[in-house]
Amino acid sequence: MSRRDRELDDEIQSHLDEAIDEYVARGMSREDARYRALRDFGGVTQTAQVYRESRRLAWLEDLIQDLRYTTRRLIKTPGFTFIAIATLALGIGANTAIFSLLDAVVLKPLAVPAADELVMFYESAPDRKADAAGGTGQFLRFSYPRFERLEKALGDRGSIAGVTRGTRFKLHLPGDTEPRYVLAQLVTGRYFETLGLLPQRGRLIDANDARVDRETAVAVISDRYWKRMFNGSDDVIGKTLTLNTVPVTIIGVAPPGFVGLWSDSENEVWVPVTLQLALNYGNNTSSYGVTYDDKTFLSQDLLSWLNLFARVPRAGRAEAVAALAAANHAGLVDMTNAIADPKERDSQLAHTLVVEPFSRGFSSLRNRFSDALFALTGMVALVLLVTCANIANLLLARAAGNARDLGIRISLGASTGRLVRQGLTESLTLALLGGGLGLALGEWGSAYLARQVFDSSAPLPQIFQPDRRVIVFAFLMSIVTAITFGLAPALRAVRAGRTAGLNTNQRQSVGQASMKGMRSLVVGQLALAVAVMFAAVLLGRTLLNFVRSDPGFTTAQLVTVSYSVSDSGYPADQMTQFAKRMVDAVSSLPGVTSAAVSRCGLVAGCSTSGGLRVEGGTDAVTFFHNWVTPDYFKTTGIPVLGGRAFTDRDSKTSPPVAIINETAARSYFNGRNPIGLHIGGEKDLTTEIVGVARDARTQTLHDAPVPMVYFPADQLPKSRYTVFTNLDARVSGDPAAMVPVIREAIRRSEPNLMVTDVNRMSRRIERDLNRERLVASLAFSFGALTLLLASLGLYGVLSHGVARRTQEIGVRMALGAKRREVMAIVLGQSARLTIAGIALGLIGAAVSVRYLSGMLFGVEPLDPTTFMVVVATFAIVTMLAAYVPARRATTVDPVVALRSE
Amino acid sequence: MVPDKSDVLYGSLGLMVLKTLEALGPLHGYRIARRIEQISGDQLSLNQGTLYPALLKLDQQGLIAAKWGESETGRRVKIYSLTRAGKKRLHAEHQQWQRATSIVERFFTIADEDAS
Repeated sequence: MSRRDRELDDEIQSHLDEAIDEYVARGMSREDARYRALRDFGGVTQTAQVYRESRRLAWLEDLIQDLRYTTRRLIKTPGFTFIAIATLALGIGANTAIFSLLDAVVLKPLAVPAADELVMFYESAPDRKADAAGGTGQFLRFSYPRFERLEKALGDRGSIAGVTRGTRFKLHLPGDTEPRYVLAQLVTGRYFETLGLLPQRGRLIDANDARVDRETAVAVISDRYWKRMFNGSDDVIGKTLTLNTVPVTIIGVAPPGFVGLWSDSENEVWVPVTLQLALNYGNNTSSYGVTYDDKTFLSQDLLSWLNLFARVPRAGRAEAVAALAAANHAGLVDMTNAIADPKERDSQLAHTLVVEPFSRGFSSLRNRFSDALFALTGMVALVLLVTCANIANLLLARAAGNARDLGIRISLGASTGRLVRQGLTESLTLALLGGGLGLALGEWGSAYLARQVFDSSAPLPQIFQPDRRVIVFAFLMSIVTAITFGLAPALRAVRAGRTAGLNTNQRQSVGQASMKGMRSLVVGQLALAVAVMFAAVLLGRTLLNFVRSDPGFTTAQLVTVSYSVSDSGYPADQMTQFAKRMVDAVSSLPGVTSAAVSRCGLVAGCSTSGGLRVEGGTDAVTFFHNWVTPDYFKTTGIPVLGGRAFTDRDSKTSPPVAIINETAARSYFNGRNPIGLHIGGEKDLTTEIVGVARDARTQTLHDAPVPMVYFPADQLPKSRYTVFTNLDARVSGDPAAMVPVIREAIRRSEPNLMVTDVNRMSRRIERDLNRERLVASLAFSFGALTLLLASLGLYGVLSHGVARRTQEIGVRMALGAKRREVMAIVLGQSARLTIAGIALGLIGAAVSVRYLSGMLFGVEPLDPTTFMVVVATFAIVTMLAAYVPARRATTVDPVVALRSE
Repeated sequence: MVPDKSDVLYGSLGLMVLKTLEALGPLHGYRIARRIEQISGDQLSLNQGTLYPALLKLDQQGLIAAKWGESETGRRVKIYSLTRAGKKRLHAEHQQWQRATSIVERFFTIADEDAS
């Protein structure tokens, strides 16, 4: 029984008691009085029933009444309804699209239970200072001995695990003719346990599978891989996968939705870390000058290759973190004993262990796009605000016409709350209709945008699937929007209605109040549009600057090939022969001018760096290294400015030589001419610098050139982890047409080579700039949309003003005002609104644009040209918007105008 | 057919409640019921129970307000009072009612003159 029911019972009981008292006072017996009271009342239970029903029905009745009223009004004004719903759909759709991208790339947590208990570790240099080679000062990888130390220190306060980056392995399945590849990661024993995952089939890798005293060849596969490769069949357990040449037994299937810790590159197979040597895994490692070719990584303290994470309940976290930090420092002390260079030793010892929340896992997309997506979220929110202002404006214009209607209803006793509720019902109906359409639009848009962000031929990762979160977002967005654009007009309408009453003479003043509201809304819209456009112009110029910037090599007519030698079973000691065969196979093709093989390709996400001593210097300095065949400089168009390029005579047996770039020459030689000087290690300062090459943006167009040293391909150290990964070919004809030709030539020469990409260099550069392109194009669309909406708002206000002032204009014309003067009245009003809007907008832009400064290139945030471009654009567009109403004002016929009303 | 007593009343019951509250100020349910019976004499006798759904409706429309208080006899009762909106509504309805009755009245007067 509810409180209200009890209250009703109390009230009825009091009523009956009062009645009984009265009858008794008139001389009746208590019994009779009771009987009479009940008869007068006429059915207590029945009354309670009716009462309850009407209480429950009341709000429903109101709702139905409001909805009916709303529907009638919306149908009566189809133009308004259409424009409102369409703009809302655009506004909410754009927000939904950006949100679903932001959610996928930045916000979504890992598909594991209690993800907020997870933490990850990295070592930080003091003050997170970036090193000379442009590193971030954060070291995310640890050695296996260090992992063991940390695991021991953590004890039973939590569970810690390590994992390598995903690597593509060549996969042999019985009956395959074409080679297949699979993405696999090596994991420590408690990887799945730490994540809190349970197997979907079979069992997951456990501590026993990763015992270091033996190699246990087992594997867990992902749900997606299981379904794709094995049709989700139950007898997958016990089957054998052959990774490169190593057979591993499938022991289980990971739960659905789990794709590893890098949600943007979905992993397919997990194997124990103990298979590192057998699988030849050597990606993503950093070392301090140790050779580790034939020993397992597991015993190497100077070799970092594992990303570490842990599950530590919040309760004991501080204590656990302290223990881990202490253990890590002890590990550093032990490790640095093996480092000879005292400077290097001190810099290592200064590292501290940092622990960070890890609920969302790793993501390279997040690092690249998170700033951009937050900026876009801000801009698209402004778009929605402008949309809201537009609809509020339309509602205000209508409210002015409705004041009389509302006045009557108020004088009939309709309560304010009831009328505001009715207004909001209308807003909500519009917003939900717009939001529904917007959701559809947004899902379509986000699928398109996801492709732009995830610029690869691989299937779109699961994270990009729009889920319930996006629907909830669109729904909440609609409600917030409805209140934003609906509440003020509803309140104003009611207030206007109250003043209006039944008195028609007051309509004028009501209209004026509405006009004032509309004008401020238009100024606000213009200001927001200016801010968005300002950002768009800055971002557009950034993109242009990147496209026009000189990368230091010639991008046109260059075809580039990526491949993986180590995953193709090539022995490390055959690299010289391999490079020769590749160059010969491609350069002999008609249409190819020259070809070169290199350790790292241009803008290919590959780099090798290390410390080298320079003749005359004391400390080792950091260089990025590349090993290239003789025609590399000719092929890529990186000119050798001084000295000579490599030739066929720079071989394994000839004296070691090197070419450095301008940055290295400038930074490391104190103004001496480096040619003829030597570089090398501690004891072997024997490599002669024979040339200086021009600086090039070899890693990405985003970074300034780094100190580089090039070595001849033939002098590549014999290591199975330092191998060639790239071939560049300069072509004379259409590079697109040469792509398949080159691919085929390589396939014929090296049938076993795992070729990952054959593409035009221009395409690779496009990919490098996909963030700038996405942000600039979206910002421009948002800018254009807000400008359009603001102009419509301005047009609406001016037209409304002209319509209201018809009489006044008529009088002026009758008194001899010229058409030009009449037009000037309207244009003047437009100019006042526009100037106010632009001024406010520029102030807003100046304040907020610093959030973009990290994303700009070659343009200052407060760039005067950008100011001018934006102001000019707005001046022109608003003039156009004002012209039509101004024209209409001049066509007012004084006679007709004076006769009306 | 004799119509149900409450049916006859239903349309104007709300109005009677409002008028009662205007005339006498805040009252509890039983007093309102008694007052309506007294004013109408024997001509209208209502099932007192039907008053409560009517009070609820007026409350929901914001025409009256209710709060718990004490009756003259010291019982815990809900006391109803007229709101501003209720007062306005009462006057509007009163005017309309007068206009309607005056038209009908005039009609009868004219009809009487014609007959004489």
